[in-house]
Amino acid sequence: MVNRWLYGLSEVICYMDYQISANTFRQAFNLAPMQWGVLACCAAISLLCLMFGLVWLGWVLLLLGIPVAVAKTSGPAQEQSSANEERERQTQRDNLQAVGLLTSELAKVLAECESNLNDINSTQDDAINTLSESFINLQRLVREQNACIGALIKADQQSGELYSERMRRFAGSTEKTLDQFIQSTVQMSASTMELLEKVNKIYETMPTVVKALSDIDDISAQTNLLALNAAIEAARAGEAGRGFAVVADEVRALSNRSTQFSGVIKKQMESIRSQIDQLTQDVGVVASQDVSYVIEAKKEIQKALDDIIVKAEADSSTTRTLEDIGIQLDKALNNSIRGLQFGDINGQNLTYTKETLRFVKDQLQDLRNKDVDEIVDTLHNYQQKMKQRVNVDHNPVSQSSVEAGEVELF
Amino acid sequence: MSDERVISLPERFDFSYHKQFTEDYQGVLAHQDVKRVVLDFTRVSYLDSSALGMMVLLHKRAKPRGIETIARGAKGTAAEILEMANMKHLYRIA
Repeated sequence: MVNRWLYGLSEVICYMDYQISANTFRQAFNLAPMQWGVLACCAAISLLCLMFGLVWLGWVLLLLGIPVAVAKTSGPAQEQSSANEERERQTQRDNLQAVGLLTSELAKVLAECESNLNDINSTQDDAINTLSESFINLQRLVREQNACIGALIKADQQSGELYSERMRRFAGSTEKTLDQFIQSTVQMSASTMELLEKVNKIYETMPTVVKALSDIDDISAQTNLLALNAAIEAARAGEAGRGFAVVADEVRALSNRSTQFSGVIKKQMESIRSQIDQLTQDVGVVASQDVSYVIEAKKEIQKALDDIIVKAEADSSTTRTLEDIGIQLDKALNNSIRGLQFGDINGQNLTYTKETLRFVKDQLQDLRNKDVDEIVDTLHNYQQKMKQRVNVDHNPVSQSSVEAGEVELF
Repeated sequence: MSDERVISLPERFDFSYHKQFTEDYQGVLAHQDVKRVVLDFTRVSYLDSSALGMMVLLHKRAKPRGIETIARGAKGTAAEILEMANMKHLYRIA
């Protein structure tokens, strides 16, 4: 910006320089043809004399012509130079007037530029402040969001265990429990079958017992018959057989009792048999569990757990992506805030430009009073000084772009 | 083969079959030269927990005698149930 203005100014100065040197050149050239004209006339006349044989006259005229030409033309030449000087002064006056006009116009333009720069500076400051505040708020919110995402996938804060891992463990233990349940069911069935086998063995001994009982019945029937026979024989013996008749009665009574016992035992055996039948039936109900539903249940549980694991893993991968995005967002925000801090540099640049403009304006006001060369020198010196300031280290003006250097937060 | 005995199972391998099954396997185990007992599941379409119990019991009886137990031809639900009940630890599934 400054350079543009200085360049314009130097262009004006160059133009003035060109005007002055052109006048000087014309002044030096105006005199020569006149002198050479007189000289040429003399030379022509002497040549004519020489051609017509007037050798001596020709040489004399030629030798005399030079001083005459010089003498003749020196008078008007001096007049001419004084007229030229007058014209030059007039031109200079005109130039000064033009410069005066130019400077007043330039001053107006420069003043407008300065006020524009002021406006830009204040607008930029406001915008940068607002943006900085917003970005810092945004950064805080992003960090909070990251913390929330972290809390979302972790099963608990202490161990940092992921939900997907916990679900997989749960799935494993559920499957194990189901297997144990099936195994114990099978074992129970096996035990029941074994028990049933033993009960059946008892059941199988029953016919033998029943057979023995009927043998006993046969014996007691025979005993009864024998006792009856004995009683008959005793009655025939009369008084002598009375004692024997008592014994025969006792034997019959014993035989009857034996038959009674056998009947009781038979009844008991019958009862036992029906109870064993009942037991077999009951055990059958207990042992015959439909296990196909367990397969269905196992399949359903497995499917549900698989779904849960897939979901948990998808969740954890999504949240990991979210975490990454959060980190990148944080980085981007940091860069934005860093970029905003270059607004400060721009501000300094603007101030710098304003200073230069003011200096140029001041110099323009002096243009009417000072010599042009003097002003050119002053401007040149100012430019040199500014270049030195630009070259000084740590000058923010030297920072040409945001990427030009890693800038710490100021 | 003389050292292999096959017990052919009915369509419904459940408690109602246990008496027959007990008789069959006791008959098989009574032979001294038996090295393998094969349960033929080709016809079986349903089996319940008592069937699994019977299989465990057969294995329990056969093992001390050094007899290998094999389950052959199981398919569909029957195969799934054998798999689920971890019968492959007791029976060679063929």
